[in-house]
This record gives sequence, C-alpha cells and structure tokens, in this order.
Amino acid sequence: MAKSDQIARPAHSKNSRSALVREFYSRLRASVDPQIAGLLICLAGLIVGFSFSSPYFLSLQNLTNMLLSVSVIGTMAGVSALVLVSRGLDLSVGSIVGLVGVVVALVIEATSSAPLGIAVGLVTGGVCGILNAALFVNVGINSIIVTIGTLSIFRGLAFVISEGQTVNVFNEFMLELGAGRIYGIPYSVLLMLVLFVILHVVATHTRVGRTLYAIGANPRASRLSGLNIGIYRYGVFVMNGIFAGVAGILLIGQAATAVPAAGIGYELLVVTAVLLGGTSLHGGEGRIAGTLLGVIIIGVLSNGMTLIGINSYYQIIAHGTLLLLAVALDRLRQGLPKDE
Amino acid sequence: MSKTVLLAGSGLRKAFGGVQAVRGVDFTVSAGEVHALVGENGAGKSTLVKMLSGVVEPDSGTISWLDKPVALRSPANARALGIQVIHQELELMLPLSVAENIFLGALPSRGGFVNRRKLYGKAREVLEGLGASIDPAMPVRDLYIADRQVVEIARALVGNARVLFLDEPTAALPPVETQKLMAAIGRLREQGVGLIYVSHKLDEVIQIGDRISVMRDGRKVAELERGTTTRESLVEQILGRELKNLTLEKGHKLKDKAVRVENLRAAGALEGVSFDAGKGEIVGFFGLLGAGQSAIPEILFGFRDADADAVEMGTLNQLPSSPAQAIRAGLGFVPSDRKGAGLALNLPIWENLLMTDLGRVTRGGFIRRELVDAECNAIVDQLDIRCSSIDQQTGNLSGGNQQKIVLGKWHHDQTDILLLDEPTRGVDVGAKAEIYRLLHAYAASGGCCLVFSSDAEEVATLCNRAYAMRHGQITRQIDPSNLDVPNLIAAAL
Repeated sequence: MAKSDQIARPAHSKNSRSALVREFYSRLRASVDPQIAGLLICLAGLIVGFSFSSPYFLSLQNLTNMLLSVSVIGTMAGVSALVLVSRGLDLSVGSIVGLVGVVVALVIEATSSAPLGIAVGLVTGGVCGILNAALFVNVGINSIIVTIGTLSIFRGLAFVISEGQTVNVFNEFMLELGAGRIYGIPYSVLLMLVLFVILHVVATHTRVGRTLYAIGANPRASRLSGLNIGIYRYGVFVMNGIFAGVAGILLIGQAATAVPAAGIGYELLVVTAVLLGGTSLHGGEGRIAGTLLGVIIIGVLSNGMTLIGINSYYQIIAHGTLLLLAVALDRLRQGLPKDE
Repeated sequence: MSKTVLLAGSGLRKAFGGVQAVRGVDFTVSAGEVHALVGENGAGKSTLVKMLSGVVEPDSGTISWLDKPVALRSPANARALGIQVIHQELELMLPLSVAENIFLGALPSRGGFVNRRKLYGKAREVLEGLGASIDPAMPVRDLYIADRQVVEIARALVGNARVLFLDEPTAALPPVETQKLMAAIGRLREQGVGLIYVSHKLDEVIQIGDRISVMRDGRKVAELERGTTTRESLVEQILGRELKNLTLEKGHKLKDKAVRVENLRAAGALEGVSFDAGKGEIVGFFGLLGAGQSAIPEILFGFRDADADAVEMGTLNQLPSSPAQAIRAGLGFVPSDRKGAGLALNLPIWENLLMTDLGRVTRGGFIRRELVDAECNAIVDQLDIRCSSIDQQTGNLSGGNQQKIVLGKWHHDQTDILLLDEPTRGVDVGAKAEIYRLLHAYAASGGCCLVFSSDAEEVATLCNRAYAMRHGQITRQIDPSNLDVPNLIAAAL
C-alpha cells in the first residue's frame, strides 16, 4: 500500500497557484485511492505507448470502437465484482451470453417480437443465476466449481437449442440496439457506463451494498449478526445471470447473428477486469470504479495490439498474462509470501 | 543460579515506525529453567520474543547464545542454534498423524519408503518423555488442544530445541488440560530445556515460573524469583497502578425472569439441561472442555438444532431457528472466536459496529453518514474503544478493543439478553476488567447476561450466580454465597 500511496500523490506543490487549484488537488488527493491511481497510470502508459505506434489510435472513432468492443464484458463486470466482493465467483457468464443470445434470436425468429425475445432472454439469464445460487447456497458447493460445471451445461444447452447453427437476427429493434448511437455514443457503451455509475453508488452508499461487503469479509460473523447470507448470495448471482443475459442481447444486436459459441472466454476477461480493479479474491474488498478501469485497460490493450498488427493468437496469451498479473497484484496487496 | 545461561539478550531496543516497542531490556534463560514473561498487550512482550527468536532484528543491544554473541537473522537461523517458538496458533498438519507431524521433514525411511514401525516407535518415545500418552498413529485433528500443543513441543524437541518459547499456550485450554501441559513443561525442565513462558494467566505463571519478568511500556519493570510474589502484586506491577473493582459487588435483587429453559436436549452435547436467568442478572455456565456449555449459546442463538420442553426468552416461546430470529427476539451473541465469528477484520470499525443493524442508519436504502457518525461515536465513547476514528480498520486494534467492538455490536436498545461465549479469551488484564465493568453496567440497566466459560476465575469474578456442567448436564447450581473457584471446579470435575 505504501508504494502506491506515493504514486497517488500528484506533484502539485512546485509553485503557488490560486487557492482554488490547491483546494482541488488536496480534495483529489484525499478522494483518489491508490488502486485507482495505479490503474489510471497504467492506462495512461498504454494510451501513450499505442498512440505513438499508431496515429489512428487516439482518434475519436477508434476510442468509441474500443469502448464498444468491451461493452459486452463491461455490462457483466460490475455485477461480477459484487459477486466476488461477497466471496463468490461466477465463471459461467460467458456461457450465459451464448445461451441467452441463441434463445433471444430463436424467440424473435419465431414471434418477430423483440420485447418478448428480450424478456425471455433476461428470464433465461435469471434462471441460470438461480441454478448457480442454489448449488452454491443450498447444496454448499464452492462457487468456482459450481460455475465451472454450469459453464459447460449452459454452453451445451446453447448448442442443443440452436442445433449448432448460427441464427440470423433481422429484427429492426435489435439491430438498432446493437448499432444505434446517441450523440455518437453507442447505446451499448451508454448502458455500460450508466450501469457502472449505479453499481458504484449501490456498492458504496446503500445498505445492500455494504451488506455484501460484510458477508464477503466474514460470512460467519455476518450470519451471527443476523444477516440472511443466503438471500444476498441468491440476489447477487441472479443479478449476475440477468446482466450476462443483457450482455448476450447486446452482443447479438451488435453482431446481427446469434452464435452458440458466442462469449467463449468472456468469463476470464470479466474476472480479469474485476481483479485488476482491486477486488480481492478473499472477498470484502473491491471497487466498482476500478472494475470499469480494468475493463477499459482490457479494451485498450486488445484494440492497440490489433492496430499495430499483432496476431490475435498473441492477444489470447496477453489476456491470460493480464489475468495472472491482476492476481499477482492482489497477492502483493496482501503482502508477499513470507519465509515459513 | 549456577545453571548454564543458554540465551541472553542485553540492552535490547526496537522501534516500529517511531513507536518504541522495547526500550532497553535484559533477558536471560538458563538450562532447566522456566522464565515467565507477563505484561499487558502492547507492553513489548511479543517484540522481545521476536527479537530473541530471529523474527525481527533489534535496533540495538546484543544477543548471545552460550555466552557468545550471535546475530539471529531469521527464524531458521535461530532454529539451527536450538531456539524455537510454539505459537498461539499451532502450526500442525491436522489431517496427518501425530508421528508424521513430529518427524515432519525427517521421516525415518529406507529407499524412499517410510518405515512406519520405526516412526511410531520413535514418536512414542518422545511423547512418553513428555509424560503424554498419545497414540502416534492418530490424526492430529482428533486430539485435544493440549495434546496438540504437546505434539508441537515434541516436534521442537526432535528438532533439537534447547530453548522453547511458549506463547499463551493455555489460552484455549480448560483447567484439566492446562495441568497436562504443565506436567509436560515440568518434564522439559528436568531435561534441561530452557523455557520462556508468555501468558496472561497469572496463577499459572506463579505456579510454573522459576523467574517472572514483568514488562510494561517496553521496559522490564520487575524480575521476581519463584515464591516472592502474589497474584495481586503481579497485577499491580503489570498495570503500574492498583486494580480497582475487579471483584464487583454481587448484591443482586431478583426481578423478572428474562430466560427460562426446561430440559434442553441436543444429541451428543446436552442431556436435559434446565436453567433460568432474571433481568439484571449475570449467570455463568462453567464447565471443562467438552462439558457442553458452549453448545447452549449456539442453540439459544438459533444456529444449532435442539429440543426443549419449554422456552421463554425475550419475545420467544420456542427455540429460534436462525440468528436473525433470535436477534429480533432481543438476543445478542458474543462468540468465543472473535476473528472467525465476531468481526470482519478488514472492514472499518463502523461497519462492524452496525453489522447487526445497518437499518438504523439507512434511509430509503441509502446509508446516511451523519447517522453513522452519531451512532458509532456514541458507542465508541460509551465503551471507551481506543481508536483513531470509526473508519479505522478493525484488524489494527488490540484484542481488548476488538472485543469491545464485538460487545458494541449489541449496544443498542433492542438487546435484552446477551449470550457471551468465553468473553475475555486472549484479552489482557486491563481490558478484561473494563469488559467486566461494561457487562455489569449492562446488567444494572436491566439487561440479562449468560456467560459460558471454561475459566473458573472468570465465572467467579463476573457472575452473580452460576451453573456448573459436566457431560452435558448441570451438576450443581451455585448461589452467590458459594460462588468461588474451588467450588466451581469441584462441581465440574
């Protein structure tokens, strides 16, 4: 903590500017936490690096595309951070994206009704979440194992329901949802940003949010303090399923097709963003704003590597590296392994 | 004493971030001696132990081993000389056998295959040398805590330990097991091992210590030979002042009943227990480990199943089915395992204080900071919790202050009945007295406390009335006039 503390301190004392500016800086210093500052510095480094390598990188259009490319995982990452905060982990989100995409596309194909398709899709996501929660809370299986199992089940269902075929999406509303913009900002990006703001407020200022932190920090003490842990765990897993469903809906809108294999590996990107954002694997600690920065770092890295012509296979390696880096950072925050 | 001095430190000093933890201490331990070390938490005991066992290096001063100056750079370094520490949190591999634990890293083997007969034989030898009859093939998980400690000591001996630090070895032990451990320590002394015995339990220290060193504010304020001190004078030296009101007045007027339970039964723990407690009363339940008293708060607080013929407790007339239901009925629970079950150590103080009832600072789902400040600062003042602010991380506080936060969780009007399981375990003398005072104030205001403890002294000091337990049954109800340590232990044995 001590090191990043120094990084967080902006060098501002060199000359005496107006009192207002000083006031601004001292507020900034008090309110910016080291984790966020570290991420911002990391992000700034990437942006500077890529903008030297590719002149196109810093264009408004490219930055918008970059945000669009991470809007799907971004939509899931905020809620997934709360899952980890409450000491759970949901690795099935990538499969839910694929399953919900296929379900929504098939319903729309059959009924031509986008609202009905979306409703069925969200319910599907919620039911996936209920299944995860039931196995975790009621049967008592470790949530990592539960969601590795359901990851495979949901993916398999996506293939079974679609008979392995791609389903095209011709619905106007869905295409508009995926490609439409307001003041040049894609709806998907707007949705992701609004969601992050809401989740940040929930996590920091509401009873529900703080209860999730308490449960993650010490489940046993929370239970003995009269908190109904089971209900909160259900809530957070169901929300995670629903928002994975939202992500699946955005994805088929953007792609104009639903593919049963869509979203493979997204769970790793989501977990990477959450861990980069400073959420501890041990629960009870975590930042929603940091998670958004984690999402953006993933986006910048992929986008920049594509622009400077790095083969996409290498990007898969980069994603894994980033995940391990994020976990290593979590480890370092707890202190280095001590000499036994 | 003419015995060989094994380990000696002189003029040891150590500061952490500008705070002087130890300010110039001389300390020696000789072969075949038990040197007890006492003092409040924060007096510098553990820093001294860490310097003498190679965990931290002193800022100044010298350490010598067998009269030759040495630099202890790491615990491994100290261990190589023969200095070992038996920690409060035991470091045993629970699923492995006793013998495997003792010979960890040096299993007798031939061609890569473990020679079990030899392993068990050698383990039995070492254990018998400590006067313990423990089956070497048994998994450590199945042992009593005292026996686990003996196993850890045996492991140290196999590693050629000549100086052993015992850090609060009896903190979690009931009296009978404490005596087992004392016997093992006696054997070690006869074998010429030098022992440093760090403990809050002064009766034990007086019983076992050949010398007693008292630390206060980083200095050694007294070094006493065996038989030259009493419990009272030790307490005064530890605190640097006279201890007032540790024994509180027992005069208690029986008012309305707060709790009445008839024929409480739980498989494997309780065989028909009946008791009652009035408003304004502190009732103790004393028993040795496994006597069943610790099952009662778990049942009354709704997280363990049981049957009873009749229950009257707060607004309940049956056993609660969850902690949430128990809390609504007016109960509060202070668990014995503070870190595991009482507190979320990485959250700030205010979140712990309000964990039982975040609703009273919430308006429309949002937590209101000004309400948090008002509520928590009031609790911090009333319980005299020493902290820099209510935003301080709970894990950074001393044990006594942490325990006050656990009490503070129930410091609101809704709590009529407080269940306390080992309420002062691992808490130093000063904080203990404060916690007793707080509980008496709570009772004086009409609250009812049920105290479940394996510490006879605690029950005798704190409670108005007590039940002694054995084998899941109440053996005797002890009224105020007979409530003392010998009576409690006699009834529980």
